[in-house]
Amino acid sequence: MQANLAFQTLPTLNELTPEVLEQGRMGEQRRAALATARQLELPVWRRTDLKDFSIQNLRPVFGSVTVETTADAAAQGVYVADFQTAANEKADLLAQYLGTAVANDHNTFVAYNAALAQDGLVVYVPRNVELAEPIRVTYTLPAGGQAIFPRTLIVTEANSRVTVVEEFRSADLQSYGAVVPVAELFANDGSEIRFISLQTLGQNAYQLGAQRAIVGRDARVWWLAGAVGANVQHIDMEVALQGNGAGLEWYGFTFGTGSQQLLWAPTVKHIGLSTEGQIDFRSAVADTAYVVFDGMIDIEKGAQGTNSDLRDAALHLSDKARSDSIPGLEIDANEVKAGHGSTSGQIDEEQLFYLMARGLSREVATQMIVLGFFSAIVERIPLDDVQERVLEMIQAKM
Amino acid sequence: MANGNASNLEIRDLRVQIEGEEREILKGINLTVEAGKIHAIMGPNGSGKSTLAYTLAGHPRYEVLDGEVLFKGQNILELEADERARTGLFLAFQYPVSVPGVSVANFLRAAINAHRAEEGKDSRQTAIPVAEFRKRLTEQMKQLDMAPEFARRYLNEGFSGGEKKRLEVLQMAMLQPSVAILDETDSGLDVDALRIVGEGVNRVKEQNPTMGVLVITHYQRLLNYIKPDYVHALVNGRIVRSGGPELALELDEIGYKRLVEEVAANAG
Ligand SMILES: Nc1ncnc2c1ncn2[C@@H]1O[C@H](COP(=O)(O)OP(=O)(O)O)[C@@H](O)[C@H]1O
Ligand SMILES: [Mg+2]
Repeated sequence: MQANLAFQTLPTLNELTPEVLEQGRMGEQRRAALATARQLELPVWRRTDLKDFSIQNLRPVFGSVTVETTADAAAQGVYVADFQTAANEKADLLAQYLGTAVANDHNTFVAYNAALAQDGLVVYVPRNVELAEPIRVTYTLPAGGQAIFPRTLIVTEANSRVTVVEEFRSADLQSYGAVVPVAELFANDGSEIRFISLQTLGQNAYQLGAQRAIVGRDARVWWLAGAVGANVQHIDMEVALQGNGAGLEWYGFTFGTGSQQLLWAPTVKHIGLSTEGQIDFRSAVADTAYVVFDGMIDIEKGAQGTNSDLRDAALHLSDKARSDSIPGLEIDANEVKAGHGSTSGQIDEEQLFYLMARGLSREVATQMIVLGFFSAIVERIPLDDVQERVLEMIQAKM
Repeated sequence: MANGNASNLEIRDLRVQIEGEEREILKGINLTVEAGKIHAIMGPNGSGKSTLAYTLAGHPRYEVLDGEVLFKGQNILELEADERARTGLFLAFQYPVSVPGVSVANFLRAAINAHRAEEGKDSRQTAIPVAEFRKRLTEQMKQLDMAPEFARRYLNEGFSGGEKKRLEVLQMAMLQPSVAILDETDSGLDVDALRIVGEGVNRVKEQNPTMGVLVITHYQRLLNYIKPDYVHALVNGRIVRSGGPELALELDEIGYKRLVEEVAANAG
């Protein structure tokens, strides 16, 4: 799949002149975004260490994306294209949605994405169309100090349904580089988006991005976020349950090894009446790795009938591994149900002994317990091949 | 099965304390569980029955101060818990542990394969074919009156007391050990479950007549199903009486309180 990629590399962000960016309407926006990116300071993140990172010295590269869609999608009138093609073909759609969920000036990385996104995915699902087969996207970060800026836009019209599976990987697992993804998901009334975003980058890559969904009346988002790769990850995520009766199921898994620092910051905003949100994120952490779950439930004024639940768990596989869980709960409505629970701990010695007492080596028993820990998430994945891929991702870390 | 190799389990002068505590729990146990025989250990709560069971199985919390346990030509106290299991020693836990996310079927298959890999060191055995595994599992579960869904459930997660004990016997039936230690496998069972469990143990024993069995129990009632050849009374970390099946009835009759008093009087 990666063999056909024809990469086109630009000068470093330091040297990049605005003229390199294309002409036309998008061109103006891109140049404005580049100016914004250059004005903004690096974000100050307490739990993400960027001291060895400089985005300015990286060279943006295009041509990292492969999109797999089906004949069915076309037959049913679903629009699927890489971002640059869509920018030419679907200017109105982009004008309506792009940058409305994640503002260009959200931070300098997002602004660079707005300036440089060519690789990416745009999906538009018309009313009442339910696409059975998932759309699959792979982004490959090439070797040697480069950066890619994937941009995802998914819009589902009333009562439609789509599944998108994306994966970020590295062509070379040792290479330094960055992936700066921005995703915007719009699930309009009564529709459903299932979004699966997996990250398996190399050990010297940075993954710094923002992903947001806006969910309409009686619409649903099912979201799985999985990360096992990268040196440093910081992903801001938000789901706004805007319409009455909007729903969210949100799962995440992380497996940190070596000296990885992997952070998720998911926020759920309950805005409409009777919205439901359920979050379950799980992390395993070994060696000297560090994982952070910075979760937030925000129940806005007037969001009566909200039902919200946030869970996170961390399993420590070494004494030097660390995890932080910072679940926040802000409630400005009175008729709500909201709960959160957070656990962290080592492998249970009694469980280990029980398995070993049946003849399993310490190693195999540990692996079983770790897989068992993640299974609450894995078994909810509605696609067999994604389930297998996720198991592979986890097993590869042990 | 290579596990089927007959072997006595010889416990010699075994003294044990719990890690981090000064108090000695087992104060010199001598007992040989003979291949093909059923030994029962009876004794009051807190006398050290589970400590003996855990120590034999290799639980890291139990610290051996002295003694040895010979099985198949080696002192198994020098082996890790998993190595002891693969040598053919099995412990049915008094309190089976729940392991979320690990299904009964997956676990059992992994355990069987671990045993086969051990044997395969000489004979090139490989993993059990899935069909063969399923067939054996289905048969054994049926005999223990377990519903097929059971195989997909997570180990002991949300199991009733009786279900847990059946799962222990199922594991024993699947693994076919050469010596089985049953730690209060009767506790918490109603009469029907007691019969199913008792018959289950007997079936495994019939299939593998050289298996030695050490039945640990508080009450005589399990011994109506699993007929012991020998009975031992454990009080305060010592075996104070040994005898034939009649000792179980006697202990039931006189009660542990009298026995404890007798022991105290003799010591004083
Ligand atoms: N994990 C433990 N921590 C501290 N004391 C223990 C522990 N397990 C057992 N003991 C003590 O060891 C003694 C023997 O316990 P045990 O072997 O469980 O007895 P039995 O199985 O005969 O009821 C008891 O006094 C008990 O309180
Ligand atoms: Mg006990």
